[in-house]
Amino acid sequence: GINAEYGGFFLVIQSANLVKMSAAVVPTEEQVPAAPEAVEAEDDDAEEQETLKYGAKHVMMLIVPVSLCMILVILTIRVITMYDQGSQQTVYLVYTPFNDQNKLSTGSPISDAVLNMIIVLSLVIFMTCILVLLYKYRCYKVIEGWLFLSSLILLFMFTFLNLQEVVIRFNFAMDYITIALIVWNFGVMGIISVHWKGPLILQQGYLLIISAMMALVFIKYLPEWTLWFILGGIAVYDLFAVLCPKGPLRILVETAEERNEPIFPSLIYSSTVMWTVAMADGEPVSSYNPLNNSTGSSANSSPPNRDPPEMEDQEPEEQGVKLGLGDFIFYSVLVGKAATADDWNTVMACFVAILIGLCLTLLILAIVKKALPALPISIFVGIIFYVCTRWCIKPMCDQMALSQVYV
Amino acid sequence: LSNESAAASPEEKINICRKYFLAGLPLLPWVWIVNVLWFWREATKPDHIPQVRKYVMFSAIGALIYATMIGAWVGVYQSQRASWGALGDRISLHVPYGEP
Repeated sequence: GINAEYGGFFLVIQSANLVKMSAAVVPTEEQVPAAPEAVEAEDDDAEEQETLKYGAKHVMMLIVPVSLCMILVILTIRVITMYDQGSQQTVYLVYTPFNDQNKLSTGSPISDAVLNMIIVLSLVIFMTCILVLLYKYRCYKVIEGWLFLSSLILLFMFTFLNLQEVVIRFNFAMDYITIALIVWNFGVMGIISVHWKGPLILQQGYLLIISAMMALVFIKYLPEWTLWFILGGIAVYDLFAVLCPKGPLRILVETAEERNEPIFPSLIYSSTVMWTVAMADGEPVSSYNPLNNSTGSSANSSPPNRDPPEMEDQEPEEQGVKLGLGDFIFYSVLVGKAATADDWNTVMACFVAILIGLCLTLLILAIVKKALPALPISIFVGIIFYVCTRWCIKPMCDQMALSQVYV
Repeated sequence: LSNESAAASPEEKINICRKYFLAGLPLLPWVWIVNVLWFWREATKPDHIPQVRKYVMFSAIGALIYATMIGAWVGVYQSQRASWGALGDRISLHVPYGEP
């Protein structure tokens, strides 16, 4: 019911805030060639490594998942028409109080949107700062618990809600027992693969699905103008948070680098598994690197006291790229919102715009070699393309088609 | 699936396989299926580790059993729901509207 959704979303948005904080592209750590074999293997690629840290392969490793996530969101929106509530929107989040449904509205949708955006953005900044503080003061257990709770809610509640919509849309009978079993299986496997160890492809798949579900929630529950302003606002915030010396995300990345730890694996999509061989006490102990197989990093070891493991076995071409889940979500939100406009041209334009933005960001990343915000370029190009396509190109094409003018 | 398990130590593999097997016990055939698929190559290669193979086999059998149970329930529900009257509606998440 609607009340359940209201209540549940409180926690969900907490997790959303967490996820937003991870909207950064992070380069993998510089390889530390400790073993001779690794050095030899490196020599050939050393020169190439110096000029451009990432090649076309890495770009593809990110484009495929981003595209998949966006396609998933687009398909869901087109197939399940409940997502474009449009004019009959009656349910709003508690975080966007300025809307046409209650007395707080200022009357103009744009100023409503600006006010909503300020509220949401302040919330995001607040949450991010708390997170950074927790990280700085090594409250790993708290962070872990928080993350775990959010993925729990995401994986169980959202799966259930989305499945419910699918069932209603396709109109087949479903009983509580079967759906409980499906959600139970899906959710537990998701928790295992994201927070513990699992096949890489399964973990990536679950992260994509989580991002898509989150994006769908945003599209469904945020009013039109508010959503666009929030997108723009988050992109600008991302820019400042990652690039400014005092930006929370930058502090986070730098602290993680100092301590030589991976950053919240369950919030970051990683394209490879990284292997570490810790030569503590002379006996090699190999383990999945906590990079994407998670809490391993925080649960099983106490990171501050352990010697940083050296990445000896990492072949140059196996270096992966990492992209925050927040980026997946906001890209999908943009494309998904375009999809509600009922025009495939707009959708394709935004899709291409985002991919272009991503490539540009990766290019800059390859040159600069520091953590970069992945949102700004893509979002701004995406918004520009959306506006142009929807209000300039489409009418132009319609008019040309009507007048039988071919270009 | 992927071969990241190739470089793990045998103890590690046995540990993971076993944990997946235990995890799948509470009505979680999906966990078992993933276990089977992930460790299939490990369990079928000539120099396989006996425990890994054992757990993979158990997971496969278990998944089949659970799948049959769930399949049976779904079959019964879908075909008999209409004839159960009020009970059928109470346990339903969604009752299809329109003509049957």
